[in-house]
Amino acid sequence: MNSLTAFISPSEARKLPLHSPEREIAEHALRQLWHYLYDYAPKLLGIFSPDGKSLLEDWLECHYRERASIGWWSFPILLEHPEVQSHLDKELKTEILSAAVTRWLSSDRTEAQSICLMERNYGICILGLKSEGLADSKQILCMSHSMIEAKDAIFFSTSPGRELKSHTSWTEVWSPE
Amino acid sequence: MQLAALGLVSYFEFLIDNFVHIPPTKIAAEIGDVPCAFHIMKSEFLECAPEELKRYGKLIRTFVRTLKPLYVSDHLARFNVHQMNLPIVAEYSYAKTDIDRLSARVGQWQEALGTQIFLENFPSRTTAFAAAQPEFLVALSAKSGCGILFDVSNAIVASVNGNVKLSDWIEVAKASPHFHVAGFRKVNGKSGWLLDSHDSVVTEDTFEFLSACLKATSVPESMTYERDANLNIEEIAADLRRFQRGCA
Repeated sequence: MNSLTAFISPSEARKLPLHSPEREIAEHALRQLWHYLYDYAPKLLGIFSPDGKSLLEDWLECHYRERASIGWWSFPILLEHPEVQSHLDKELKTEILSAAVTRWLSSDRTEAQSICLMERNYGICILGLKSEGLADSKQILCMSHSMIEAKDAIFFSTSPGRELKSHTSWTEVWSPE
Repeated sequence: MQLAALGLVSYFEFLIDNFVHIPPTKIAAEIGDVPCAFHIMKSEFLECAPEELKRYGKLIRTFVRTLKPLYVSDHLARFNVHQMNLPIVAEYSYAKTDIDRLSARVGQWQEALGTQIFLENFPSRTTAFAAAQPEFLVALSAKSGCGILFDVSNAIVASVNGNVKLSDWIEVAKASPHFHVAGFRKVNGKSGWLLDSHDSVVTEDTFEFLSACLKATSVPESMTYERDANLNIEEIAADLRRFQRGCA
């Protein structure tokens, strides 16, 4: 494999010589992914304390096996992890979906103004709003809903509008087979 | 804004990717008469699909037309491996055989944006490709018509991590009307590589090298100070005052 795969796969990084610049650079890259996962999910980190590495490695290797990029869409996959499921309550689910929304707000390169993630079982709906002006903050709002009566899945919608009602076209978030 | 009020900042550089959802007329109204420049971080212009390049270029072009930036810059770098996003940007290989293909791609990107693009030199992390970078950038600029944004700190980082002679960068500096400068730091670990971290004051060797570049070139049209973290206004102001004194 290309040595850049060590930036996204801990098992590939461990193949590099210990203390070599290449190994330390790969570890630096993987540390960014640790932050990507946990910076907005402290309760999740608490479950996998002290360092959160076991979940991080499972998550990264799952993506690597599937040749899938890590992105905002990667957070709902965590809900399927057996150890996460054993701790799953409304608060943790809200945290994980809010982290996904936060990452979308920082990465989307379109004129869309908002994203909404929705989940049926807990009736949770997370609306993320990009900043309105240069000095404004992004906003994340958590609401209850009874809008989706479909299966046990997470749906998302992006919109050029900023109101929940502007979200009308729902797509199931990607998940591995 | 605080630094502008102190007379230490005469323009803003926007990481424009973060603002493409705000109407450009609204941004123009917010910044008033202060000029601006655009730095693009997320175009992935070497790797993305042609239709995505056109879409994103068309979107940024609306900002270019309204805000008339001093320059629009981007990165000659890799953002993906096997179509998977990398968590940190990786260095391009600068193979001479790639220059025609790259030149065509740069041309497509400039056409989509409706303006010249200035490509920033990369803060090499290893010796793998570093030595070839200065000559490659100058050759790519000549072939494609793109400009070069010379990041003085990145050149020092590349010289330490990649064993590039600092003097090799002088020709790049001469070809660049726009400069960047920032702090960097050593990363914990035994190999001691430098990271272009943008989180600290500008180092003495950066000021010295910048002075040498300024002696060899005409005064650049712009000099952008990058600081992403540890936003200590007094520290930043001290660095900026030193630039105003010609690095003395």
